[in-house]
Amino acid sequence: MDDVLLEIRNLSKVYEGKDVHVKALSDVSLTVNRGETIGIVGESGCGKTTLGRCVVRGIEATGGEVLFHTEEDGIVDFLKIKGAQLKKYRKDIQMIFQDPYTSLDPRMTVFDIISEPLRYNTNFSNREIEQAVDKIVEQVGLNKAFLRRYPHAFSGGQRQRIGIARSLILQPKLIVCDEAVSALDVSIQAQIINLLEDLQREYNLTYLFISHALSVVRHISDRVMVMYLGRMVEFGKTDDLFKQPLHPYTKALLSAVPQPDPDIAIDRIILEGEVPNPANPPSGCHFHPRCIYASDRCRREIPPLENKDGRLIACWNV
Amino acid sequence: MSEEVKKSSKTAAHSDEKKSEKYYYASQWALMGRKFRRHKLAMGSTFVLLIFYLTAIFGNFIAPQGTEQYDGKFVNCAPTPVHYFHEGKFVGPFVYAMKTERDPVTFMAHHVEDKEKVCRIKFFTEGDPGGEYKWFGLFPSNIHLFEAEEGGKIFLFGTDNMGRDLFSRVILGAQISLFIPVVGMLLTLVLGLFIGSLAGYFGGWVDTVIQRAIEVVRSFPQVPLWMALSAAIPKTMKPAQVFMLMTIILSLVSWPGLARVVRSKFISVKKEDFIMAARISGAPASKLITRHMIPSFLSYIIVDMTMSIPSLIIGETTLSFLGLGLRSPATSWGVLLQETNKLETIMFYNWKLIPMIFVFLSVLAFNFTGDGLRDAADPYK
Amino acid sequence: MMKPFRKKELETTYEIAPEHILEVKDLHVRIAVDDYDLHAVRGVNFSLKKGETLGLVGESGCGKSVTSKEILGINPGNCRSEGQILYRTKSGKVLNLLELDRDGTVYRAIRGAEISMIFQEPMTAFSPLYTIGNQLAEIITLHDPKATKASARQRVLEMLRKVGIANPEKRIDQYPHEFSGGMLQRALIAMMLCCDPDLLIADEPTTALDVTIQAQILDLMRSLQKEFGMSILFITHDLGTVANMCDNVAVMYLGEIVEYGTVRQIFHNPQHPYTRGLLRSLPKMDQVRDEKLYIINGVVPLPVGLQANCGFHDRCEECIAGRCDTQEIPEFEAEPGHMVRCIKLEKQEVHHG
Repeated sequence: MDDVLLEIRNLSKVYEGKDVHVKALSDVSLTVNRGETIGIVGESGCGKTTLGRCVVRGIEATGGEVLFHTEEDGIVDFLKIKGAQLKKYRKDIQMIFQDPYTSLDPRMTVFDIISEPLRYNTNFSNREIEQAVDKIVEQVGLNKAFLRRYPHAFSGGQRQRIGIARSLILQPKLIVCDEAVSALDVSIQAQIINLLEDLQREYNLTYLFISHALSVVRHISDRVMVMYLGRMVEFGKTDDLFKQPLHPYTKALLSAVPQPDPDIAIDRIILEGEVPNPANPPSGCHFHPRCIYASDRCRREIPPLENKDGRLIACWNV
Repeated sequence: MSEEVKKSSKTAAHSDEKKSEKYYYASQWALMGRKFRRHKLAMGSTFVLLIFYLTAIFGNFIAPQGTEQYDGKFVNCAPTPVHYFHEGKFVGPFVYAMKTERDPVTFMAHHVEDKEKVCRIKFFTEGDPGGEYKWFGLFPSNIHLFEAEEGGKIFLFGTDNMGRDLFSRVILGAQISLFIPVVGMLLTLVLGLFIGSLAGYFGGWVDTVIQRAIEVVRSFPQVPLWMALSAAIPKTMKPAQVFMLMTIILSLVSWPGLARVVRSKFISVKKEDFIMAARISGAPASKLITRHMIPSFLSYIIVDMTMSIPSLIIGETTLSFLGLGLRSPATSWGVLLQETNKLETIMFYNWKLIPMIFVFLSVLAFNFTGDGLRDAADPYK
Repeated sequence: MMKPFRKKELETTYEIAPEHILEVKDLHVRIAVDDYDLHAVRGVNFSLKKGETLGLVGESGCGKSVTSKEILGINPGNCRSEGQILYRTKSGKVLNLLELDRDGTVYRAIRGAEISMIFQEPMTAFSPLYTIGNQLAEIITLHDPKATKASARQRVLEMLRKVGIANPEKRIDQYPHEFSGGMLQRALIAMMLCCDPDLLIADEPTTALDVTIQAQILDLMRSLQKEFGMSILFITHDLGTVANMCDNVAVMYLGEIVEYGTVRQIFHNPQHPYTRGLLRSLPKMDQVRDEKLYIINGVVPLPVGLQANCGFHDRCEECIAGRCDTQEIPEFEAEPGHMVRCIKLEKQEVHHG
């Protein structure tokens, strides 16, 4: 068995409307190793959420492959499998949602919410289900006595714990965390981040950690991918990328994060303009209208993703 | 903070804890119920409806006469007053016997009280006047709630031009007028939920076909359509069959509205995170629909349906009033009102309009109840 | 016939320090929700100087938004307030805003023209039915009845240019839905500027925006403040933004200000365990991975049936049993101008208050 868990190859998602053709995700490729956390950052509209949802098959991708390295069946394309095989592997790839309020069915008790995946994917007896739920509930730090309550009785942080318990109960290999801590208060955010890290160690989980909060990504990720308008623009080890960002967009993004220290000299690159409409992306490098280094070539040709000392980067000027 | 305030805040904290404990374990339905109970008007209306329906269900027992009984001697008799005191002495509820007098000028018959003959009202009487009936259509019985002693007649709402007791007919009519809408609504619910779910869940061409069908059905004018369909009911049919056909007609006309609501709810709930979460956990389509999607908007549908019952009550009444629904001797509020569409009714026999009060009350009560339910189901209130 | 009761606009005179524009004194707000009586704001005191930016920081449920809305008198009807909110109007008169009739002429003249607010969701501030230009021009003519249509339009263009909206001649005739979130926030700031307020209440103005856009908006707010000299009450849960925007900071917890000081005092020498915990629990950009984040245990309790004690005691690592949980905690002065509501400071400093 190799170290690779998942290979995402040329994943694309196109939304077709009457007169619009929106490329939400264009040819994103990524190799994910077992037990690592890959941070995916970018501004809204960059395609990071689409990427996550395509990987879990919450929405169907329009192109590309998600190659899942399994023990029994070798490499399977998670996007193409159906029926019994899908049922077998679906439980390996789960998701934690951003909004702890809308992602839990308000009409079900906490016990029913957490145990629901077991009912669809296993033949557990009621007793076994209860035991499994008890175990996971303890692990995510919820009080067992509260299992018969409804979600409205819980605060945001506790709800997020319920969501985590639900995604963990099938013992998945990969969890896509879609802005999993963004809606939480600072003190609760730290609790959940630590919980995610503890669980990762215990179960050798692999995370795709999608977030716009760069400091959180910095803290939790091994490697980071920066996206802009549906494309990967930079990818590398977290420490390297944060210490020495190469792509002009990454540089601007990092410098825009406000630091919780009034004395940190503000040496900001303030980006002009906003993320363009993905239905009508700029020619060439999508970032060129906001880039201070933009040349004629940037306006004409899309820069390819190149490997520079282990860092992937798509920019003509590097 | 003074000692007293501290104490009171402590007990407040304690009772709040208890309260919140209940709140935490309360399902969405329980929370809705709590909000609903706070809506005074809706609670009152629900109570009125409850009484109406119970009366209708036990109609044969409460009504002194059956639908087919009449008394030629007491035609167009005004409501009989119920007395308690005879010549200053308390004798309990009784009525005076009736005698007929004629107006010397117009020769119209009047029924007046014979102040000498006291006929007590007996309760839980067995025997003829109301004839036999069957409890819930199963157990034969001839016990009635009340009747007057031999010689007396009790017509709480008066009689019609065939000498039938209006009070009995209002109650027995309620069995039709109050249950057709409910059965019709349930049929509408099944049709609307099913068709709307198909359109909303699958989308694509299924949705397009259903949408067009809905538009076609909705573009028929409602009353003429009812009339045409009802006119097609053969006159020889038994009342029970007419009843069934009428509910089917009413629901055939009203399902498209519900199907539309269901479809739009489906489309909006499909995008909810908790639906995607269930899908990712491997829930099959059938479970997604029945466990997550329909429950998420069922409360709204119920509100919608409650609000639509009044139009079905009016619908039944309208059809019968036009002479297209049930016909005498079978009875419904519409049938009763149909018998009043003469000027002389309003001039001389205004008690015959009493059924209108019940149509009015039940429609209002349903509207208020629906109002209360809507407020309770609205999470933003 | 009795005349319907109308709250009299009182003539009591109040005094506030000459450099202050706003003083909030012992403000309490209680909210009646279902069966509960939430004590959302519990005796808040603060003041705002002219041209100062005060950050009101705290997690959700700490009462920061309720406090700010009380200043504008826009809390919903189920809220009851006590205390004083003293405000110096442009004409120099000091008013207690809590005594004013919320729908009266005086308050209406203050709201918008003297105290403005920008929100987290700028979309809700605009009507979808009118162009941005129309809505801004309406504000201008409302406050300056002499303005003609043409002059109002000129002023709107000027304002849109000032807030950095590119191509204002085209943008002025567009509808809100044609604006992106960041642009709409700029338009809202332009709308606020049209009135030239003395006090701006910014309630999480950048929370819904991306970091690069947030940087733009914060930059804009800073430069506009320099130009127009208004005071800003900046409400946010984001400590990073506060460090970059504010002169002074008030940290709120459970309806109380637990720590108040200059931005450097708060970020470099935090005294209250809650403030310290918050700062330590933030993931830092320069932090080594594998280091665990500091955690404040537990959750913010519901403000129901609260005792007179430290609201933070049940989550505090330094809680002194028998004191923190039973005793009302006064304010202590850690340094000049640095107020902390924590009993730890009792021995070190002189008791104030």
